[in-house]
Amino acid sequence: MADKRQVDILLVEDNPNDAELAIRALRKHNLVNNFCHVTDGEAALDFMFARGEYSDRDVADRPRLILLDLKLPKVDGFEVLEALKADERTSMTPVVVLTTSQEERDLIESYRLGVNSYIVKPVDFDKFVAAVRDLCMYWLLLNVQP
Amino acid sequence: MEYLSEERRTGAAAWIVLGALAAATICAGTVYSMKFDGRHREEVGRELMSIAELKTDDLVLWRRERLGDGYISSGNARFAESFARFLADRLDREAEKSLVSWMKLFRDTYGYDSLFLEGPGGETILGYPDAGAKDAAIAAAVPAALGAGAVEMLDFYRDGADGRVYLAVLAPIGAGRPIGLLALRIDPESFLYPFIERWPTASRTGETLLVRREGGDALFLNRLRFQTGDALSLRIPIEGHPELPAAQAVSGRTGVLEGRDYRGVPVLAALRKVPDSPWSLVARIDLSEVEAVTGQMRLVLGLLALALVGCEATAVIAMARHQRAESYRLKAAAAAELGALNAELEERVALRTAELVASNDELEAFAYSVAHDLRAPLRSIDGFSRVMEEELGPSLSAEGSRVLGVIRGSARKMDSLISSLLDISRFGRTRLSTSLIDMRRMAESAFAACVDPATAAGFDFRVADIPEAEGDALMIERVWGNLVSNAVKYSMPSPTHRIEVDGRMEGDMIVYSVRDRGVGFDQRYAPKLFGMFQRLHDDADFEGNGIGLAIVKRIVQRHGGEAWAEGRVGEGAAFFFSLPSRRT
Repeated sequence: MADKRQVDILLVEDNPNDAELAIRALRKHNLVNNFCHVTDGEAALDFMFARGEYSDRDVADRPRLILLDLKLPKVDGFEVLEALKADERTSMTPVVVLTTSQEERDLIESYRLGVNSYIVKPVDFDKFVAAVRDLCMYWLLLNVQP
Repeated sequence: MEYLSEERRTGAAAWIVLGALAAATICAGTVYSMKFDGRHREEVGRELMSIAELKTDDLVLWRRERLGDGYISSGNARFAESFARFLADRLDREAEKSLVSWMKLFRDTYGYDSLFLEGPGGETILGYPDAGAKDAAIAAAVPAALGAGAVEMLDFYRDGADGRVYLAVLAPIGAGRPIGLLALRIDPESFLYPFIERWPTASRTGETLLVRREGGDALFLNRLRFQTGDALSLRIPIEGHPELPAAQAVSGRTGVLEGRDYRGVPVLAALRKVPDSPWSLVARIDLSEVEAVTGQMRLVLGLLALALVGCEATAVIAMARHQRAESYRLKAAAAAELGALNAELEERVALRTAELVASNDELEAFAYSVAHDLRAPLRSIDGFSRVMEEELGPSLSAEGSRVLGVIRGSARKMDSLISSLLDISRFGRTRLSTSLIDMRRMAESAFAACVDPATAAGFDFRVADIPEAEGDALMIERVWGNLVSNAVKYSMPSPTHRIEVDGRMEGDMIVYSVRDRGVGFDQRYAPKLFGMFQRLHDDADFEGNGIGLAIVKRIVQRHGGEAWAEGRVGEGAAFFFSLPSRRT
């Protein structure tokens, strides 16, 4: 794991292959200095709320972007999203759902819970890399946050 | 309440229809049976007449032959000479022998009962086979016969000696002035009676009668089938029995008539005179036998009519029941609108809904898992192939990169297949969100989306002024996208790059078409085009996953329309889809 304080992106992804590809895509454009990868929803919440394994973190040190898969072990993506958006300490952090699902109900549910973006992971790696580049560019560089 | 009265009306109508059908069936049956009755009677009459004619003709022939036998005897000079000698000298053995041998020959050859040589005074000179036998009737007839001088027949008579019935041929002997007479006595039992009694068809009551007039009576000449007693024993006065066919016959009447026979039973009879004889022939059959057939026929007809009425009743009742069921259904629908479904129906609906929901959920879960679980490995395959390409970089051989390319291509193709399958399942189950669609603009943007500007410039893409349609815009967009991109794809190898989009009202449907001048297809395979994974061209020739048209069909059917295609190899193809026209 990278430095727990200086985290630009929190990647929540249980599939190691997908995670690796996502990390490669992130690295490719040198857009991200630090990121943290957790493999389930519970770890994601622990990280954000500085609990358990991440109890030495400061809740105020929020990542600048969360990339969230929906299908996760233990606590799934929707629950993570709901918990984050419900807590005012974390509700400002942009959350981008990065998932395989094109299901409309997943999309609607995500937006209902306050997701900031919803990206369907393309199978084509080049397109995936492009998508990651674009979303990082937007959320980390262009977008102005409160 | 409205429905109830309607039900009652339906029920009443059903009964009226049933009544009418039954009446019609019975009427038709009765008319047919009456017609059949008449026809059958006529037919039997004709049959009787032909029997009578046949028998009459045979009887005439038989008589002629018998008289012929008489002439042979009459004209035999040697016989006459022997007879003369024997008459002169009764002890002339030679003459006697000659006469006897001739008579024996004659009797044996022609089957006569007995022969008698009669003297001019009516005395029996010689008999054969019994030399001393006599026949009073013959003897009595001799003077008249000799007076007439011609061969004649002594009609049926009863012999006083043995009480039997005979006929005889009387042949005067001796040219010019007869010196006596040869009588050929015939036993009718040997041929005549059996011949008369024979009936050519199987019949319980059929009978032929031979009658002659005797004074004021009709005399029955043969044995009677239905009356014990011998031939020639029944005589019935003509006077007072106009209904008796035999009486009519001996009075000279011929033809077919109905009457009562000697038993008093109603009969159908054919009458005929036997020419050159005192005889008349009656061929008759009991009316009861004639009617038995029509009775049977009537029974069959009756049963048939009954069965028909039964069928009609079943059909009408079934129809009425169906209509009643239909009206129940309507009632249920109305009640549902009013929120007042009856309990049973509610239960059933709930059950069905639960089943539907369960199967729908199952389907969705499946689709969801397909979307997720199949996609992830594909992404890895593609992603890591790419990573490998990058990592190995220049050290990778040309073949190595080609193979990696194939791997990535396959992964992407599988991804597109999964997407399409999910689309199909989605189009099948998601609710339609309908709106009014500018079909012309949608077709044009479908074209713009599937070609690059350079290709578009080389295409003659024409959209007629086609009607708007009501439908789910996202889905209909897919329809146009698939059809237009297909048209473009299959036009590419052809020299003519022209696509025509048209649409027109046909009845209560709007039929849209996309027509190209591309490679076309064999019309025989047209129905296959819309099946899943059905492709008529090689993957190598034309890209595609074989699901596009299946999606088109699914979407169009969801909208209550239909999709079909026409094509000819090398001449282009036309794809059609219909949508219900907007109700105004």
